[in-house]
Amino acid sequence: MAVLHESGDAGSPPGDQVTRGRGVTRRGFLAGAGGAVAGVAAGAAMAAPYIVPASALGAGGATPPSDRIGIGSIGLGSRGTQHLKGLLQADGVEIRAVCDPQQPKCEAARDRAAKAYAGRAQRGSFRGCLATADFREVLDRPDVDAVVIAAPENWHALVAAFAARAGKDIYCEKALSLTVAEGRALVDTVRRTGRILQVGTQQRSGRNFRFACELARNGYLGRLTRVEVGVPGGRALPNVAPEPVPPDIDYDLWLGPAPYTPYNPLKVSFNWYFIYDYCIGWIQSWGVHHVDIALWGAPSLGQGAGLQVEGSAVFPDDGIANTSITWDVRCTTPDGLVLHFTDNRKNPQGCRFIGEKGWVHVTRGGIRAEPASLLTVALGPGAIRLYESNEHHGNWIECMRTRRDPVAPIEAGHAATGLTIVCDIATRLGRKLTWNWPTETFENDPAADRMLSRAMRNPWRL
Amino acid sequence: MIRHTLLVTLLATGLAAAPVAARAAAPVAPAAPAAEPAPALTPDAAFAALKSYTYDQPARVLRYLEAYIQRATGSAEDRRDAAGRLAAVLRDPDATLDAKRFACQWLPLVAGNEQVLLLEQMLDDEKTLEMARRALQAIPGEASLEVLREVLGGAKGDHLVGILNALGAQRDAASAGSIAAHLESKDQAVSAAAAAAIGEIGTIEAADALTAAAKSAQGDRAETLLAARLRCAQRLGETGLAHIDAPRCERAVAMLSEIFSADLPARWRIAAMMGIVRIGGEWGAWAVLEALEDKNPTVRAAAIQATRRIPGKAGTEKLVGILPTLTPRDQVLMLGVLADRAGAADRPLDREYADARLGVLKMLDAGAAAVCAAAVRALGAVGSADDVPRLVAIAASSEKAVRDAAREALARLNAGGVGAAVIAAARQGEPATRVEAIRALAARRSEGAGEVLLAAAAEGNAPAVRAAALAALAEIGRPDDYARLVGLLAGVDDANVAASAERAAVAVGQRVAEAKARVEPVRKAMAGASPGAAERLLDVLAAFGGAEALEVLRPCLKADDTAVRTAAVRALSRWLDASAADALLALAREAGAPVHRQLALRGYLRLAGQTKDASARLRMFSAAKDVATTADAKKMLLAGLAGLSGPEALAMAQTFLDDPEVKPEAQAAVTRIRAAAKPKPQPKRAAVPPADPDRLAARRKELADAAPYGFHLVCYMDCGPQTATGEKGKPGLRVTSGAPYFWGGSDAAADVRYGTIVFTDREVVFEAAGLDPKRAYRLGFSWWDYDHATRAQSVWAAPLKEGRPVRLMETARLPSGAQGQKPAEKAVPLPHDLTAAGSVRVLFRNEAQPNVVVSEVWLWESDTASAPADAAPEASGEAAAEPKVHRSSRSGGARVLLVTGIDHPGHKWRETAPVLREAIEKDERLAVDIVEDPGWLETGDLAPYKVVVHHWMDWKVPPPGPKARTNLDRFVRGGRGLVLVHFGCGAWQDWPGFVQLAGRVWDPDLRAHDPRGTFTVDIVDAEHPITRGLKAFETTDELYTCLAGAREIHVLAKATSKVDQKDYPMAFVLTYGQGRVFHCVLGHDVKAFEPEPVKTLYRRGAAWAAGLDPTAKP
Repeated sequence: MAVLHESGDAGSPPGDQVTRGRGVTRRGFLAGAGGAVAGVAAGAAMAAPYIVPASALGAGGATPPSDRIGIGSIGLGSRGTQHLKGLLQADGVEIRAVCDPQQPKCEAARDRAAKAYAGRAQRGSFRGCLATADFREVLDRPDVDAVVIAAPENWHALVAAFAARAGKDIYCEKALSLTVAEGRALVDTVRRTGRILQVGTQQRSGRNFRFACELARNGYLGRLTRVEVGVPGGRALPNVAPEPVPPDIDYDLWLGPAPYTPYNPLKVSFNWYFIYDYCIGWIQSWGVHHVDIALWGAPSLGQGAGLQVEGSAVFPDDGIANTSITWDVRCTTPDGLVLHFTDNRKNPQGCRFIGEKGWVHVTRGGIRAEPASLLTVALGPGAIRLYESNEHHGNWIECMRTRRDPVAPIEAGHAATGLTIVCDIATRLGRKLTWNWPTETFENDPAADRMLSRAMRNPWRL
Repeated sequence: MIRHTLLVTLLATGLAAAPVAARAAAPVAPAAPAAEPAPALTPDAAFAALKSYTYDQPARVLRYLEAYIQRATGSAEDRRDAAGRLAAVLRDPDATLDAKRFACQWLPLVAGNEQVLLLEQMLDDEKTLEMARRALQAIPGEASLEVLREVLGGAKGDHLVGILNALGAQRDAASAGSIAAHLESKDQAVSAAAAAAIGEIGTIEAADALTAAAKSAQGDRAETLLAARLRCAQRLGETGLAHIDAPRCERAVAMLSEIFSADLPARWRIAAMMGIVRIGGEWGAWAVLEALEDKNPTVRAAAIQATRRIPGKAGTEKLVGILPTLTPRDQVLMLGVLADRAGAADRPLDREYADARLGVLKMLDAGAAAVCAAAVRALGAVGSADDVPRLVAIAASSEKAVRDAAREALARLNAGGVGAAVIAAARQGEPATRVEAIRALAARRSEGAGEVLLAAAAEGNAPAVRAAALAALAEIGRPDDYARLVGLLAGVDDANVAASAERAAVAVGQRVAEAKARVEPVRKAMAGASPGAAERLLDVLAAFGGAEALEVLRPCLKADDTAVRTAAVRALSRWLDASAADALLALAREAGAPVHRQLALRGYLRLAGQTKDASARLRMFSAAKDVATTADAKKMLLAGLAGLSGPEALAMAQTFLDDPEVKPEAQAAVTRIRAAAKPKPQPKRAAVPPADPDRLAARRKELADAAPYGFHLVCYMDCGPQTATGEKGKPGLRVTSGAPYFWGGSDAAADVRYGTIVFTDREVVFEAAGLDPKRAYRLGFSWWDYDHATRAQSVWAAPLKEGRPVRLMETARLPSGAQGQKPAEKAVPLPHDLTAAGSVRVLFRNEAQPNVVVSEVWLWESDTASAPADAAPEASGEAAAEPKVHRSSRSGGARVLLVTGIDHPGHKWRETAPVLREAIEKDERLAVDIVEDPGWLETGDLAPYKVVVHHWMDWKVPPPGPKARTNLDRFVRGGRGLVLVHFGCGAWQDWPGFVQLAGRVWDPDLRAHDPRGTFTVDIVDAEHPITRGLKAFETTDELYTCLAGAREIHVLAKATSKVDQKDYPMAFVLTYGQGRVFHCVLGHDVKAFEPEPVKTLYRRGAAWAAGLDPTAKP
């Protein structure tokens, strides 16, 4: 019997269904997996299939089946399903595995793929889609070249690091990691393994967001004094009593590296966003979108030593949620540039760059500026131009072929995620902190540094 | 079962009464309001309560303690205190395991050495071992490391793995030796954990151990060790670089080189190369150059990208040197890297890039278009002024990809003398190259280009140059250029040039700060201007507005020449601001010609509608009341009034209630004015708001208008405020299972009718009664998951007494308000065999969590006793017959297929399709077949057709399957044509590729359109074959403001929204693959097709899409 829970847990591990090995690697699984993938095993040595980038060479038309990038989709909640839908329509890729510890979600995704690829299956170019609760089985598949990770945050860095070591390229949902330390470890792993990783901060592929940042970067707003970010606030949840784990959920794999607490039906879908073991709340998971834009347009917020961080937040005082509901945090660089980051009851939704000569405010709904003429600016020769991507999946797919860094590279995802975590820590500790980017620690506050990492449940490690 | 248990839990916590268990009001509503308020916690009470905590208790104590412990980190004293209290829980033999688990999780924040000793003792107990191991890992410092090292020797199995992971996470160099002993463990989990840990430690000693172990390793173990060696090399390299310690760097490079040179899959070798590059120096350059010649294309691609990390002149030289030897694909990639390098450099003109430039220039003639395009793009980063003539020539003569690259390069080229070189190229040469140079001047925002642009704009014999120069002036012309531009406008004879010149004059004039300076040149030019010129000058004045401009226009109102007089009235009616109001009102009363009076009145009412100040607006409308005698004028007046509030506006609107011409409009205005007077609902009001008769009436009218073809509204219920609706003996609805509720605050996100709901935990049931057995019915409803993103529901119908329910709609997820989605409206046919009984039950079932909610329900009834044809197949489940193609009466000619058959209920395709066919067939070269089913695209043969006219939208029904997309995609991509009509832009919402094909598509999140009414469509490109010679025209239609999309389109016609004063495209073209797409959003109904120019647009658009010359006489 595998001991994946804390030893001696009275709270009953998932039971006899556990047949996996005790280790964290899954090599060798395929040996017993039967004929489904035997035909493609010969291609195991190749990483992402490289073909001439269609767009770069001006070619059009559909990608031939042999050049399709095989994709495994890990985490099939609402966001994961959105990715699945998008990628099932995309040219040049094929969903070859789907993974979720909740069996019904997993099977629905597999059926969706089978339906979308019915034509390919008839022609013999599609050989079925693996459905599994265990992401390591996806990583063991040689015909899977890349994975999409849309599991809760406690899983992100771990699954991504496993994928990188298995030679897979990665699309990882934001926030990149649950802690600063595991985010740093993931950056190291992805760079060490030379993998392509696109962070799911898809606003970077929106023209308005890029343009707002280019205005800020090129001095059209004058000297930048302040950046205001507002995102939806978090929620409280009721108290929920433990329940037996339903037979169609592999709860041990749902928990992953998070500490053991018993199952309840409320938390395994959506509400995990607000539980600190799995996510740091919307200050992190929503905040990272616009904080990322803030850093793109005002890079000095993410560089150097001496960033002062101070703020407050309101937390639930009962119930199973324990992440902030509203917050108000101020980050100040040594040069006096301020990032004011709140839930959207204070700052309006979006990101606003404010300079001495004007401001620009960008949201998913649109872009506004003062003076309004800023919106008609065309960048002249010599201007700083940011990475141009107009489709986040498409950019990822192209970069897997060209091996170029995507528009939302891992360092950007780590910085934006890190900054939201640092803001959250300041509200939790209730005191002014000073953040040092080069060391990724707080200055002169080792007690606060202890908030930057957590120990994973055995046997997980990065 | 699960749901049931959850409900019990919620009941127990007093939350089931609200459908929204999880919503908290700010700052924090207690998640579990108990019958009596709980006493405030104190630290003593909370820590005492923690000891007996188990997971089935409320979490209030935990929430309190988390906050307490986090705050305690601020001072050493508080930390000691908190750590001591947590330790007491851990020491207490009677404390629950759940309590200890919580204490262990939070202890590391405050723990000191004393608690480390306690945790060490906990490692002896199976029950507490893992929680203690994790806590030790999370406590930094020598004390916890010593404990971990000490237990490493005796640990076994899972516990050993945990200890190894902990030591690895802490990078404890001191334990490298003892960890290495486990590398050879037979237990694979242990040896893998040891390898990972030792790699993380990353000392020379660790490197030795891993290298030795790797020698004999096979299979999975070899892979584990490879990953560990990479990790170790990275750590060695990092510390080597940080301490300027060459031996450590060299050791790291040696480890990586061994992997790089081995016969391993590409991914390992890429990783090794990247590792060496990150260490840098000569090592990095060596690895990249080796990898650039690799057989494996993925390795080569990674190497090319890695060249970004080889800095300096030497690096650039190597890249340029190797460029000619690469495959074309690799050349494209490498040129991209070169461009990025140079673009990021501070001084792009130093020697480094002078050499790079020569290398790039060689690639221009390389042959492959893709390489050429990449080289041209790179030249934009490394090029000099000498390259301007070449780039201009390339832009003027190449295929699209290369041309676009050249235009981009010209816009970005950033070196000394480039500006002057572009001006020189704009001044002389072939017209085509001059046009490109002029475009570049605009794209570069060049200063000092005015002279050359004005000269080019005045050239009589080069129309393309003139047009380009005028377009460029419109973009970058400066105030100094304005007077000459106006003079030029007055002297132009060609109509197309005149339109461009007018645009330029207006654009540049708006940059002139002083009103007087804007108007004066126009006044001068008016003297002696021809009637045509005067008309254009007056239009310029209208675009500026203001009293000064008005004084220049005034004499023209009395001019002898009728054309000038008309032009003056027309210009006045388009006046930018209210300064023209008095003059317009006077003209509306007194002008001699009826058409002048009409124009003036419209202009006046438009200005009144735009007036921001409510009392001023009311005064303006009152003043016009006696002049507004036509139905159109009265409607405009009422539309303006409807935006006002207060007794005067109400009284004025009421005077129209008896006017048969505008009775409905008057009623709508009265309703809106009344509604505006009511105070806005308070946010977060928990009581269900009462039913509001005005709101219900307005909603009923909306739904009556939206009824499907052949149906009308018979009853409507706003669930929550209402639980029953309808008169006795007539169709009605009533709730038989479900309780009213209101989501406080939801009215900030959507209309209040969506936030008022009925709900139950299992099934909301309605009874529909009083149904006419002979007629058909459709059930409409709206729903919204305001506070969650979890709800999913299905819809069923059942006989009133007994019998099995039949499913009307599959399980569907509700749009989530929590995720910013808007409520959804749906409609399904009710089975006739059930409604024939006169009454039926409708059931909404919960298919997810937490409960089932319905916002509104209504019934549409068929107009005639027999069910309309389009309702029958769905209701009876019969297979639809093969859709029939209605062939054109014309034989021969290019065949056009008009696809229609479903649309938003407001779009009567049965009426508009024949009108559209007639308009297109005015071109005798075209023959239009009509098919009334978009599904035909899936099964039909498109081969005979040159053009598909897309006149449908899959409103609340599924679109045709993927085959249809593929067919349409291939059809257009392969060189045929597509015409999109009005709401065609809204089709295929779930097809991401459709936007590429249509250019712009409906985005439901944007404002949909201006209120239907009269507006002017302006021709943007009067030279395009579709719009050649067309003039601005008025039409009565919906002005769409809802298009989204990023790809390049060529706009032919636009209109200015009355709501936000912004311009929106009305017609545009694009190419897709080899095919042509004409997209026009005009054509809401038959009336919208009446203006001749609308018909012309579609006729010519179809001809153009068919590859014919639209203006050629057939």
